Amino acid sequence: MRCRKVRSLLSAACSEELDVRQYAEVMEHVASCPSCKREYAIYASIQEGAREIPDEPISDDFNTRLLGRIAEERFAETRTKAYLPKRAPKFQWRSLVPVTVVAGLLAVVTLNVYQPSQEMSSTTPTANTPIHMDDRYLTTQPSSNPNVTVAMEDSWTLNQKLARTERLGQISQRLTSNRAFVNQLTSGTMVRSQTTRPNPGQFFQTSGGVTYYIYRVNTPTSGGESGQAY
Amino acid sequence: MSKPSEKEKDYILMRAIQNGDMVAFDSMVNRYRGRLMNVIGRMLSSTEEAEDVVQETFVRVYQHRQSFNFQHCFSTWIYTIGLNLARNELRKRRRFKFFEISEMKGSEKELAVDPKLPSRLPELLEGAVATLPEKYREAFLLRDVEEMAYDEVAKILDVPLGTVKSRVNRARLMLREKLKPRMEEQNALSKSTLLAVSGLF
Ligand SMILES: [Zn+2]
Repeated sequence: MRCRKVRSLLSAACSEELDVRQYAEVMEHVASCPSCKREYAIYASIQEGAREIPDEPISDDFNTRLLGRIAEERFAETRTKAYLPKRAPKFQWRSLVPVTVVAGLLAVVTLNVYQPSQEMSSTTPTANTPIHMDDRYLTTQPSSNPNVTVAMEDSWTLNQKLARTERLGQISQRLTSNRAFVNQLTSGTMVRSQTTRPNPGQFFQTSGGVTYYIYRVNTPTSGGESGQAY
Repeated sequence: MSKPSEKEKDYILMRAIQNGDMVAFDSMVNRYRGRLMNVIGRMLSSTEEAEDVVQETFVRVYQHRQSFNFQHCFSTWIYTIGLNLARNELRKRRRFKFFEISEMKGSEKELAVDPKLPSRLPELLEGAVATLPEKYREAFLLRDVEEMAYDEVAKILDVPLGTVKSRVNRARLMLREKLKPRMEEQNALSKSTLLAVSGLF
């Protein structure tokens, strides 16, 4: 074997990755060639050193901390199990057949026997009546006290209440979807080092190759937005 | 009756974990935490961050315990999870390198010209491994430090066997380049001490 060929096999020879014949040939050359012998010594040291690299230290409370996190997982799992059915009920269209038949029969009977009077229909609000939604919250001026976010009125109409309920629903939906978003992001959080934080007022998270900055939410002090809350 | 192999021990523990046995989970943690720390700690060069990643690895194992496939090797599975999490950390770091550099300024120079190089070979090698590019470092750590078989390393890193072999080979070559001057210097040093000592008698 020539030096060139031997050199290409030296690291494999040190790591016991050659077959017997190749290993014998390499070692035969190494024994008689001083420069290849020096190279062999370096690779052998690397292999030897690699096995002796000291173990990374582990904190004494490693298991305790971890089991604490697992306990949280278990708690979350049992809570989910308690509230959710094991399997989503399968909808059987066949089960609707008798119901549909009965409903159809009833409808026919009702149409033949019962004729709604004209007076009844005039007093009952129809679905076509447009419901006026109160959107005064869009123009309401901020109140003098910034801590007061809802200005209570004594004479609330049904429409106002409906609008408020709808608005509250939207806000809570937005909050929960934001919450889900933040939860999803922080579920992968392991950042602890200060150096990777761009600013003490922010924290960031990366997800799917995108970096999100989540700014600390400040309670409005100007009162400018509080008036618009509802 | 023969003793269970390491692989069989993993399966026994994993079955118990699936049935909610926390003692089995604790045993599994003890079996793998050191090995994972040795690879991930050297990937991240930070014990604190590595511990976070290894903890997260075990949490993921717990969360996905029911989906573990007994056709596969548990060790391959856990190393794959751990290394993917470590890679995410490294990616995150790269993205914020800009901030790190701007914050470091003065201290960086001091780090670069640290005259106190370790004299023992394993520590010297550890330092050299830390400077290897990520893909060579992980291949070297799994193959030469953790002494895993090439095909298992290929599964963990999710690359073809040939790629792993060439990466390991490349890593060894790079380490040789880094260590050669230092080793020859030490060699010369030990020879001269030897000469001096022999001269005394
Ligand atoms: Zn030669």
